[in-house]
Amino acid sequence: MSSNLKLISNKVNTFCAFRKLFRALKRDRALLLIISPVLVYYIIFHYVPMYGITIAFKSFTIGGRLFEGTWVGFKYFNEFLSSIYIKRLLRNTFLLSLYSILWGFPIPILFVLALNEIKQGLFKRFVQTVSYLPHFISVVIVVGMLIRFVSPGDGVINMVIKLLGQKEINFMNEPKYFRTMYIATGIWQSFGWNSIVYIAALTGIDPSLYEAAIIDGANRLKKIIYITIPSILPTIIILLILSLGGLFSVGFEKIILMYNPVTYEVADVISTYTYRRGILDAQYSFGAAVGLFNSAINFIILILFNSLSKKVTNIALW
Amino acid sequence: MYNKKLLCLICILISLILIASGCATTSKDDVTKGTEKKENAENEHLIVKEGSVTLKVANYDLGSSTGKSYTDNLPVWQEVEKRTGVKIEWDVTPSDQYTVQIQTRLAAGSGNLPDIIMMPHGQTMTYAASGVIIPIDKLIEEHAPNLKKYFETNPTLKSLNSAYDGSMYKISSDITGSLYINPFVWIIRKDWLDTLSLNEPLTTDDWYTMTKAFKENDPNNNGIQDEIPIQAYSGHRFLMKFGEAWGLRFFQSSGFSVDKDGKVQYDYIDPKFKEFLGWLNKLYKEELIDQEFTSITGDELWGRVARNVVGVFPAFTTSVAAGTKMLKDNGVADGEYMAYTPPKGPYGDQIAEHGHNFSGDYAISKDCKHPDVAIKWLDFVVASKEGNDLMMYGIEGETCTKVNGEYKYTDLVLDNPNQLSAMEVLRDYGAWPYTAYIQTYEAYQAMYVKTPELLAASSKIKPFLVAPFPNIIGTDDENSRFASIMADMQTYLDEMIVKFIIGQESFDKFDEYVEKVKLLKVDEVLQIKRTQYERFLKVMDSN
Repeated sequence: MSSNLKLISNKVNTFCAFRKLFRALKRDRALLLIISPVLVYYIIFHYVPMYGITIAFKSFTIGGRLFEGTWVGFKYFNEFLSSIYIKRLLRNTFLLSLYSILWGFPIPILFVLALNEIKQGLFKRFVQTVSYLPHFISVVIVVGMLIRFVSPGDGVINMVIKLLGQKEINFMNEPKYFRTMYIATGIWQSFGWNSIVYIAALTGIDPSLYEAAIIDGANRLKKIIYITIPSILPTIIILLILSLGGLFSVGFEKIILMYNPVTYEVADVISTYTYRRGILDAQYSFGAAVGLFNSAINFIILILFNSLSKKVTNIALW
Repeated sequence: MYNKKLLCLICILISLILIASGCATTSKDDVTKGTEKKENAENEHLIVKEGSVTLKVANYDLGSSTGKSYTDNLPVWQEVEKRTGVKIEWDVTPSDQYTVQIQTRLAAGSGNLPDIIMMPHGQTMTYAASGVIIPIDKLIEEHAPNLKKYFETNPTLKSLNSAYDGSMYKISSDITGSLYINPFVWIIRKDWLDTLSLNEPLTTDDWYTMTKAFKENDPNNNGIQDEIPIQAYSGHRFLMKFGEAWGLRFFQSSGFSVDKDGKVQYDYIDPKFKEFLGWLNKLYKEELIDQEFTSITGDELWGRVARNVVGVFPAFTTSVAAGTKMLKDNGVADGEYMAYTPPKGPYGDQIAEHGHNFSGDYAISKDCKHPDVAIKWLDFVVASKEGNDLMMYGIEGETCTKVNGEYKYTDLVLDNPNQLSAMEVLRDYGAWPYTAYIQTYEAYQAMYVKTPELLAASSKIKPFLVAPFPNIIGTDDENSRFASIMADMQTYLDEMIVKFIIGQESFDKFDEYVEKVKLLKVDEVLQIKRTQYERFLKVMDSN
């Protein structure tokens, strides 16, 4: 008897839950409609093609279906990991990313904190706008300018060096300058754009907090440390976690424009090596294997840092 | 309220107009102006009844400065349609997008592939392996007499065109004519040679003397030592061309050469390579080679040419005119570039490798419903005398005339009233197409008849031209093994070579370098190449 009652009450509960869900969907149908194109886009172009990652494990022939192709298991992963350059590639990829984050991450924050101290006006807006502009310049042009500036014949930098009595330096052929040039131009190009998020976060700070601080006798520095930074700290941490999630994905375009065989030992990264190998043949399977390898590592790092952050600061992506 | 509604309406209208203009397709009407209807009743090339079969042809579209496209039904192709009876439906895309879109369609595998496809570079055999394109050697045997004869009289080309099992999957443009008339050479400032009273450089030692004089004696007369004697760009690839003076085949053959016993060797580990690198290093140290050759691009090269500082640069012979014009346009009135014979090396080698004979692969897809019609059409367009004349010379009476049985270009082509180059005029007519065809040496001679110095230069170089190591089609297994070894090997070679050239690596380490190359499985690479070469010879002899 009681078992029957339990069964019925279970069924009633599920039915009520469904009713609730249905009502919620109906109530929010306008919102769902707005978001549906984006949802469909993600499902079709990002989730469904995930199946294609299987070509990393197959000897994929073009023209064949995704379901065909002989299974080769980890052959391409092994090929990639047994390259004599694998240590160098991993090291270069990791270091370029790490240094980019180390140097490039704080700069927008410092910039925004400084900008915040300027009174609203023409100068402030001018500085802000000028800082965004490099973001819109194509990386090809930025590297072109860089090569002109560091040219040993008639580049500006070498002219200054010669004026100081030193011998001119062929920067593009020296491995020790590569990272500096890569990261410096990267920071110049992106810090303005990246500061936008922080500026937006700053506008959300309650001005009465500042007023209270002044009453308590806080000077400029103390206001920054105790009010501004803590208020934008969640934004900072989230963005940091996201950047760390891209630690093993260094884009190849800028490096290809900047590197040459002499600087391979610092500049050759996973993506450029795979690109060169791809030219010899349409090596889709190899490329997919390397891409999967990259993504797997990035994913692990992301989860690691996310849980670390949750433990330490209580702020995390999930 | 009324104003708001009106504003909304206007905004919607404007956005609709913008969308509509983005989707507009310009319908081009058939341009038939000036096409003479040849009353020639002899139409022995008629393949099918007029208009009964349509072939879909996928190709790069014209990059015409006047905006013409193959879909405009250009005069030459109208003639082709008339004479073969086959209607052509052009499936063309601008060249920078062509490869990507055709690869996607080929990868999709089937359905609606065009009948004849210009294959993406280097991937013909991959698609052949998966059956997307069909073998055509039997079709050629049965239906294409001109192609058959062409391969019989050119056994080397037949072998180059055959896959490892002897079958053929493609027809390519035969650009041998252009290789002879327009070789890739070093272009030197002729007026600087005159100013400094130098003779044209004949040996590699002469080259050292000449470049030293360029650097130190201020031939551009501006008081500054700003001359760049040798301007290579985009890395060390062009500098490797000098290796030909040591008999080393890097530029076109990727280091593979056949020694006097007929065995394939790898020139990157040849002992003479050390001497050659030493010569390059000497020149680089004394700043006779541009110090920035690793990072300079082609655009920067032309900028420097214009600034009157470049003594020598690598290019096709036709760039002689472009270089000279660049100088004259930038105030250097006596500036003149010229192409000269390749340098003779310390062992007496004096050669210049020409490029590969084939360019652009045309294949027949498996969706083609009339493969016999397709092969007959290709036979006409690519290999028949009449088709060839159409492709090379265009429309008789407009772009060419027949003088004493030989074709000559008209003034419309050679001296175009709208300042178009000869090639542009012919291409707008549909001649010299981006499809597959045979480019004849005679046609080039006819085109360059107005620039005799160019013809003179190229005929001086012609005796020294040698064929590169053949581009043999490999099996899937050979290709994947080759690719996986070369991935690391090429990285190592490039690094070491540039380091040797710029002096970052001492030449005492050369033997270590050779050892390392051997460790990287160069023997396996050589074994693959030797097997392929044997196959190549076998098909050649099987005629």
